[in-house]
Amino acid sequence: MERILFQAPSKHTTYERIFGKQPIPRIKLAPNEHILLVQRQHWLLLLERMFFPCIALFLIVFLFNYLFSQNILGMIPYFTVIQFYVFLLSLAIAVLLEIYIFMDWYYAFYVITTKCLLHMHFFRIGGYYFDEVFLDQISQQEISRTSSNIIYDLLDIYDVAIYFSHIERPEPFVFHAPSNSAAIEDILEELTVEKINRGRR
Amino acid sequence: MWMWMQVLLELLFLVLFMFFGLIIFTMRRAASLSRLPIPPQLQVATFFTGILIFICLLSIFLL
Repeated sequence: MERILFQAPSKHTTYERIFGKQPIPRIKLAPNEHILLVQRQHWLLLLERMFFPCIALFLIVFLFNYLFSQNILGMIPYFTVIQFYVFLLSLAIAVLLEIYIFMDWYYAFYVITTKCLLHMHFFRIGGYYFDEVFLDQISQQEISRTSSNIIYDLLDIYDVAIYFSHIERPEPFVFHAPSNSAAIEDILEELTVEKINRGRR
Repeated sequence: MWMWMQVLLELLFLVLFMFFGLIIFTMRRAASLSRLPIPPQLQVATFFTGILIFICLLSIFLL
């Protein structure tokens, strides 16, 4: 007796029924196309990116205050005023950088539908970035899940790369540290199995 | 020396203000393209940062 490994994704419920009323970006769908998954990058990546500018600016302010306290520039009479402005300047730079980093993360999505893989990035100065792979026209060769360092490995943060056997798309489609890489891998495997089964019929 | 410092600070705040404008522009366009609202906490943070930079710009100029 043949064992059923996966249920065909086309029979799955739509994204709204799976994930509730969580806001998702505008995606144009073809007839009979359903969204299977929408993910951002892992929140730990956001924290990591937000942490370093703060530390750098803190060091700059510290160094500036130290130089002033040593009276290297001979500006002791203006010490308080300039120190105050440098503090405000570094605070403003830090907040703006944090806003930029957050928006960069917030408006970038990985989407899997029943017919394609998408990487959308809306927070860009010149237009928006859109990488789309149509699964019907391209065959997947290999799906691999790797972590970029040992800490991510411990925290289950992986990159999922899909390699294609297609001359027009030699480079892989990579989900860089998505929030749930296991779910992505599962859905991709389901899609591949469904495609193989469709080919047999 | 103080005057040069004042000019330098003024220029730095001016660059920062332009960067702020660019972020606002990109943010609004990203929101309209994706139809995802900007988080309200971020709107508040952006507003107060803008006010801070603008006050700094004016106060250095008036010093």
